[in-house]
Amino acid sequence: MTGETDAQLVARVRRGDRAAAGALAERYLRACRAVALAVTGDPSDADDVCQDAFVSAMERIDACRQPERFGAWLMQIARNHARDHLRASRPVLSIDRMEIASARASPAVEAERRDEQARLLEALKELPEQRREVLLLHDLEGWTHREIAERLGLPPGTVRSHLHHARRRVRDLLPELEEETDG
Amino acid sequence: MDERRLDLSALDPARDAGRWRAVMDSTLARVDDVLLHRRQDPLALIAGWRRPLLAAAAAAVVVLVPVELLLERREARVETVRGLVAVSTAWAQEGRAPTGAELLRAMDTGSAP
Repeated sequence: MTGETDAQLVARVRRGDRAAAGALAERYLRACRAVALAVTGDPSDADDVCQDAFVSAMERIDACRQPERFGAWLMQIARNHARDHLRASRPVLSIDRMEIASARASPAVEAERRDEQARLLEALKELPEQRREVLLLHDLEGWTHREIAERLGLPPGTVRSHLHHARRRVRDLLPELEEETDG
Repeated sequence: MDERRLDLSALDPARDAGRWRAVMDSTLARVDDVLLHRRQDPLALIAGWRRPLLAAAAAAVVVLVPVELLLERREARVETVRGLVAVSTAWAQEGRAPTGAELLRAMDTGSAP
């Protein structure tokens, strides 16, 4: 991954630099998906929404007033797109799921994974949207408390509190869920 | 505080690496179209330069305004001296000494009484 700052990459994107856009996608597309997943609760929708949100951000890159805070700006765009998607209740420009070639596990393993994912998504639905967002960004995407606070515009104490309550609630709902020691 | 990280790997997009790669590729292909348009659009090019240009203009104003004021003040002093020389010559030709009021007026306006 490039060592350039967000502001430097944004400046290059403004000049039409594809590689810079690719670096921003590598840096933020997964987080964008996590935010979209927190809103829609559906991984496939989240894939579509994060894609649309990122393309939209590239189209409106001149409107990014604080390029050093590109991440926060993109997360807001992703959130808005996801909410619009929910309101419209129609698929956005969809990836043809049938044409995607991927290494599939055996049907039994695949079914187990789907079941595990479904139970997790059901548990996440019990959380307020912002707590879901914080939990996914921290425990799935590996963002630090500080990164989440900066990019979501929340006080660090609030981030810690959201994370604590979210984890506790999910554990209550899914006691079988494996745990990892926080790094 | 609950410091134990939850295992959310069931939601990890990289679990289906092929699908996630497709999402990434599809995103970048669409971004490519956007950026191609941007590279060809002179207005976008200007927009990209707008902020640095505005910053440079602001810096130029900050530097040039005090310089201009200094030059104006020096010019005014030269005018005063020229005026005093002119009126002093006139008084010498008339063979008389100026009054205090005439001197003050000459210094103030830089012109002959």
